[in-house]
Amino acid sequence: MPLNGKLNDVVVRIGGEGGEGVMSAGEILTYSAARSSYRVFTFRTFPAEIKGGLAMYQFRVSPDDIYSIGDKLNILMAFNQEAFDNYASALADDGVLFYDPAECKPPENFTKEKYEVPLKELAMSAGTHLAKNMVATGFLTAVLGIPPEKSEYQIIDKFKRKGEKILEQNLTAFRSGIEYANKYLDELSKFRLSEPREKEDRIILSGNQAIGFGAIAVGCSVAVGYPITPASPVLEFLARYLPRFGGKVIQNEDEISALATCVGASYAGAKVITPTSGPGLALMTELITYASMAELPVVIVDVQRAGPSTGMPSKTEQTDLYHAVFGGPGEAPRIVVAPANVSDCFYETIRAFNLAEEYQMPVIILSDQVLAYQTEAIPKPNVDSIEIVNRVEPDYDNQNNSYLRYKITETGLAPIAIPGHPGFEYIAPGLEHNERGNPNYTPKVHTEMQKKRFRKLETLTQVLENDYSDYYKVDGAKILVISWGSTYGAIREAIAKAKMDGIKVSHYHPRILNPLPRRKVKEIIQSHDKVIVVEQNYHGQFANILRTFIDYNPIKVNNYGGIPFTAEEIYNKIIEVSR
Amino acid sequence: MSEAIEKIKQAKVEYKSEVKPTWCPGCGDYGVLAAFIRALGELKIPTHKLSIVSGIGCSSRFPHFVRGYNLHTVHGRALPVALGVKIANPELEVFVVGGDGDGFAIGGGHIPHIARRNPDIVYIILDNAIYGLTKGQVSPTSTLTMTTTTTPYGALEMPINPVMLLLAYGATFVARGFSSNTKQLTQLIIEATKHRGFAAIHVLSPCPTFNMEVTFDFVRERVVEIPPEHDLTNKLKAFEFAMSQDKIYTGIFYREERPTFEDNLQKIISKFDGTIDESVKKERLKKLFEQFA
Repeated sequence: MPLNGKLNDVVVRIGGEGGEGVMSAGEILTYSAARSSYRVFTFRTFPAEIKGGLAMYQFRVSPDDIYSIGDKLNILMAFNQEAFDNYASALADDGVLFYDPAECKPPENFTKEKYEVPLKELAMSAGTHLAKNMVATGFLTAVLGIPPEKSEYQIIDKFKRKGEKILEQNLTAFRSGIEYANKYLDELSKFRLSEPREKEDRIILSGNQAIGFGAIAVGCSVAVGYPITPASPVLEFLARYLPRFGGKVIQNEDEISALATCVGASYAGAKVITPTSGPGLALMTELITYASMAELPVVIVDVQRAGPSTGMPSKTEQTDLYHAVFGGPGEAPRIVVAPANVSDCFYETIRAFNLAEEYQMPVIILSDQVLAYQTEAIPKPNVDSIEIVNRVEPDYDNQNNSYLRYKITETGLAPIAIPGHPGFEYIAPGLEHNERGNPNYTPKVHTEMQKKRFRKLETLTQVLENDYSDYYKVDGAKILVISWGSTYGAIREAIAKAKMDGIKVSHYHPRILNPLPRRKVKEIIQSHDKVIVVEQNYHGQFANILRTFIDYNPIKVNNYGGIPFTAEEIYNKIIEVSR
Repeated sequence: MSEAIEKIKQAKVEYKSEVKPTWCPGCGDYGVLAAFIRALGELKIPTHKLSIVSGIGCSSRFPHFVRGYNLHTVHGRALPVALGVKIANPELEVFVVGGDGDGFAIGGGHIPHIARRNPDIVYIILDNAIYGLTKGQVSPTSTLTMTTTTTPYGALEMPINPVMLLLAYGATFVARGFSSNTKQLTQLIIEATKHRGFAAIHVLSPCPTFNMEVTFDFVRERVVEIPPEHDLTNKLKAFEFAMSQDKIYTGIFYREERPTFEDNLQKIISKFDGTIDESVKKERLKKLFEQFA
């Protein structure tokens, strides 16, 4: 049985040769569904090669809220034999296979429901074999009951630039797909989606786009980066849109210089961001500690990918946590934020900027490859209610040449002067320094300054101790799941499934991973009998951090194959632990 | 007291910070600091509009000794940091000061890209052909076969020719000075600052403590001023002066006008109406959300 529980919640996978239009078919269906107020969730893998190789697009669609990509497939659309061979085993027992008989022959022993869809043949009669994906799009549009005009609109938008003839061929192919599906509508009615419950104002974004939007919304004015999979779309998004908001975007010569330019711009008063992935974060490490030492706000996005070294650039992992929290020469405080879904990518990016401004230190956002490309229809953010924090500046009228940029205070915080104001000149030092910023290597000054810098994290910790918004408490639960980042959705669904079996499970999914509100985490842990920490890495990095700071040894659940956890995997673990 | 001396005195009062230089007695860098402060006095740059950025090395301590909104950053990254300062606030007069190791070894990868972009930044390279802060290791401008603590059997690498490199990368202003000729160096810094674009000055600033080959005498015997009739737009001729083996030419080698990076960035923004207040931004953000609805 599929975990989804009800057939009104459909998981579709389209597989074919790279370059056959698998991604565009999936995107058109996703956007059409989202624009018809359905909830959607997507997952895709690109072939390693630029063209060719197996490509896959998976989406889940439902009239109700969904949190993850789902488990077993309800529908597999196989463009060719390779897609069938690789993905047929992911079909649910009552799932259905659609395949192109010209390219794919399911073996005799394949007993699940199956239908031929002559993609190639219908495309040829529309005028071009290249329109195979549009036949599939039309067919699935009809099967799912998505309003065809929404898909047609997308097709027109996509092909209008390619000329009248190509557009007409694709539209014809799309319509022939719908016609063909009508033959089977009775048999396939179980996949027809019921009407969405509410018509809600939603926008459709990927995680990468949502981060870009967050940066724009919070007033970022300088973005600098270096291309790297899977973070490049963040820089591309900002390069296109940030100038419309007065912002400046540069592709620099490497990640070191990307952060360097951000640091300089931040010193001069700009709100800055640099998007990267693990290898880029490694290169930025020295400058992260400089920004921490000179107490300059910078936001770094690490869209994590599978390592080590070059690893698997298009696969996912949560392996940069240690690096984000501890990496670098010496001990340098920084804040680490981990969004859980696309909506979080927007709001947590805003929070990251606000924290950087308030606490005057680097903030690292840990996203990952899955979240980067995950597309969700999220409620349209209210532009007027976005809270924006700006750095506290000194009172420039009160100028007496005694400005202490690094004044030792109770909170660790002192006002930052912006260049251009007479009488507040100061040096941003990488050397240990006194309150003026001038070099000083005495044991007393270094000790006091380290305390001061770390005290800023303590100040933030006090705020986090009283914030229970990341804690999904279930009364009477004996089991607690702790997780971070993109595993959120799968875990929410696993917990919901366990609840149906009568197993109560609480969930703690912190968005801020450093600093840790130790008292609160301890209290949450101690009110449960069994604690599972779910992570996509080998070490159990967050579990080990908890062990260090909370002195508690949880049950680790790890996956490090490069693909995300499914709800079923986590559900099975919960069941195992509950016994 | 003559008027000139009075001016220099005033400049010292205005620009010298509370931190005293840490350089060895006799270090060439003192001459560069003196010329720099004189140039600031001539240019009348207010300290709150001044931003000096450096990396790591003896000469990279420079920003500590001058009043301004300065940054003393990490090894080799001063140029991209300065780029950020300049694009975020083009009103600031941005200087980068550093040595041959900081600029041509660890930071060598940034020079071509700063030159390509041409931000209005002055880069003063204090070249002593040795690593002084770490006490005497070979540098990218050390002479071939030079004996240092890390090349006890002689350096195996050909030295870099900084002026050739800057010309080849497309810096729009390239000059060379000598730390002992404060008068000429002051003038070069003034000209470089007036130049709109990336202006690099290669300064021979000998290290009396660790470099026994490239000494003050060695440089003094070889420096020759570029003849005044040299056409500053003639890049080939500039290369010829730079390639000279026996003489070390000083003065301005090359100058060219090109749009600055910060101007070009501003042009992109101007496509969407330059001045944008918060309420316009909000409306634009709402519209942008619509595109994704």
